[in-house]
Amino acid sequence: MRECDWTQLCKLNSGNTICGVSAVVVRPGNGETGKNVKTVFFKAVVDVEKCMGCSICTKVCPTTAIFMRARFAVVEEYRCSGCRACVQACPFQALTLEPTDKVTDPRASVALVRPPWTIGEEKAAWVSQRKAAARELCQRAGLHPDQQICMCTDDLLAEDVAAAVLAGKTQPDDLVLAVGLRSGCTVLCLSALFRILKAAGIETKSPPANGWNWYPGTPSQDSFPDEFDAKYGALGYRFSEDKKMMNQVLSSASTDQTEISDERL
Amino acid sequence: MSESRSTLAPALLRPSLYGVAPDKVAMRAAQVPGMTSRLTTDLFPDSTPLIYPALNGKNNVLEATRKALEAVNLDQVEQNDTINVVVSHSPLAMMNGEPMTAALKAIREVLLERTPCRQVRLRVTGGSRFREQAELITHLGLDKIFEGKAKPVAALDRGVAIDTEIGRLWGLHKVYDSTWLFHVHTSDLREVHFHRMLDRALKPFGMAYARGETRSAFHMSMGPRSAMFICRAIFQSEFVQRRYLASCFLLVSPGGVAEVVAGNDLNQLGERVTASALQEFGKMIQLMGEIDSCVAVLDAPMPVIYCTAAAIAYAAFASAREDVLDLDVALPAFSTLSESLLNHGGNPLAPIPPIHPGLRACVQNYAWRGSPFSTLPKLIPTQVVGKEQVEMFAGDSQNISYMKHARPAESLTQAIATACAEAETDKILVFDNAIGGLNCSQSMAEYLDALAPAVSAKVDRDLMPRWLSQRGIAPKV
Ligand code: SF4
Ligand code: SF4
Repeated sequence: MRECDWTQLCKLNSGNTICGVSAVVVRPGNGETGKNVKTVFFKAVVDVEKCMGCSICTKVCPTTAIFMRARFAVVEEYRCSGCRACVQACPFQALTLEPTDKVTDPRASVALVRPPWTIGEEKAAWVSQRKAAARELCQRAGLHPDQQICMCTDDLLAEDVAAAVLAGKTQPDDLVLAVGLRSGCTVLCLSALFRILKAAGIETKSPPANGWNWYPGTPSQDSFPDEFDAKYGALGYRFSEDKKMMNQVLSSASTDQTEISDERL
Repeated sequence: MSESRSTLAPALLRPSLYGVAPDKVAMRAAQVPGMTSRLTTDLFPDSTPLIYPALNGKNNVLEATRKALEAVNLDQVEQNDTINVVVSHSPLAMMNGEPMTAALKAIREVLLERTPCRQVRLRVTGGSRFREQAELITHLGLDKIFEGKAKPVAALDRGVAIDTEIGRLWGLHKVYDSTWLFHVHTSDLREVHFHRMLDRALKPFGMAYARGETRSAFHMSMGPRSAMFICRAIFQSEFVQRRYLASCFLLVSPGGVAEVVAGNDLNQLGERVTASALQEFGKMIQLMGEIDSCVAVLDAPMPVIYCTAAAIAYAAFASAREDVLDLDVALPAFSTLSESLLNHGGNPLAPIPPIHPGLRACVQNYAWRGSPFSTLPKLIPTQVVGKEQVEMFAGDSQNISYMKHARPAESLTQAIATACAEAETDKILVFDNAIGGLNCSQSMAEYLDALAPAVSAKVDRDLMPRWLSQRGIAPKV
């Protein structure tokens, strides 16, 4: 029996067989938010008849969940966030997303690891244990701790990522599985990710096997020197005004733990 | 004018990884009884005459491109060189892709005619739908036009380091794997809520031609009136300047293609592109900003935010009550940064203007997934039509809460009736990427007819001079 998956398909037909609440989930969504976690309903599956062994999928996967074995791509399903990046990148359309009713570990040949699984279950605990330090890390990264970092999962704030980093999840692929960033578009959250890692003094490892799963480093508002207003202002750029606005956002964040609502936790 | 016109043809649907199969779409919005249309020229009779759509429109674009390229110096190109003609997905998705395909054909022909180089290749870059470019290449026959030398390039493809005035940024290797780069784009308003019509001509260098890391910095790390500098920083880098050959732009308007321009000096062309865009789109977006109430109906093979009415994208419309072309306005109502600064409870962490209050409800008859936009149904009551589309959006990894906020609807007509009743309006605006104007309800058409003359005068008198001067552009440009 499952929670409602919010597709609301049940409302589409009268006298229907489609249920949203009572547990007969016809086709669940790719993820649901709630209690600060993302439930993953889909996993990437390789069709070996179509796979040409080009290894491109291994180089784009944000969780480094794909490896090559005997010239075919293999997905470590328990590391798949269902982001669809590999599905889109495969030039031979050999990858699809399928429901995660059965997830296997190909290295260990274990049959069933877990049914639809959740990303970020420990997030709330990490934040509550390290809230002040996480918020302070966000400030050093130039991010408001309550700023949304991921537009896809809808519920991932800068302080969540900072708390995970402080809890030892320090590399881009681990952070996907820890808090859910890069599990959707895989792109928009990258800048915040690298800013937090840099502020924490962590050196980002290289992706495996000459992959291009990520390239570290990112500019920010502070990358624009003061003289840029004089140099490029005539074109319409407003560096100082934007810097002031971003600084106001930052200064509105309190690092005092007692002032922060814990409603989300 | 209070006449009832027939509707304009909506954008053609095509099979895609990102949308429901076209044969599952029971009805298009333009077919709903009572719908009518307005041409851009009905609303703004002083609109620039168009070469597309027009009689022989495709050929007009081809000829205009050949003519524009006469101004381009190609003397530096040598026999063993390679040229990448680079275009992003967005101009290829405009107007069913027809005018840009014609322009690309002409560009290839001219490059082969006027240079000794035989390796003229096409690179089609894209947004957050990594397979869209490959779909467009096949759908528009670009691989045939370029004789098998057309490649898609996605934001997560192999990167190349580009050292710039603001540090190291990342371009896409396949864009720059040639001796020369020929930049092709349009003056379309499209993501005005992101680029704010600042250095518009350079935008693809920091977005469509860049890796995800650099795009993320553009969207999430800097204010909206600074972020476009990423594009300029990349373009001005020694790495790009060494390869940059020339550019060609379709100057477009809410009605279609007005002109084709080309040249070697992108800064000079950029002024022309920006001035044209402000002139051509300023009135339409101002007009839409003044709408007091409406139901938006999305019905195009585009992600939700890029469905257009008279070439104004739904996301730009959602921000249009504030003047997004005015650089004194710091944040638009809807942009990635604005969404990011709406924290968990929906409380803004910065002074973000509200979503257009005239946008009372949305009916999504047909739109694509493949870009994050779950904030919109949170803020605007939204219905999604049809089981297949509901399922698709419920399964979109980029919008995992979309169907938590949007409601399903069985049919388009039922959804429109519900939306109009709840929003207490009969004014309907259709975002179906129709060419030449917009489809709407009769009441909306009459409302726009009445508003347009005053908007036109205000833009000519007050706003256009202000927009130009904010960007350092002399009025004559
Ligand atoms: S990208 Fe596709 S063809 Fe290439 S290795 Fe992966 S699954 Fe196989
Ligand atoms: S995490 Fe994304 S890219 Fe990696 S295997 Fe899963 S769906 Fe593919």
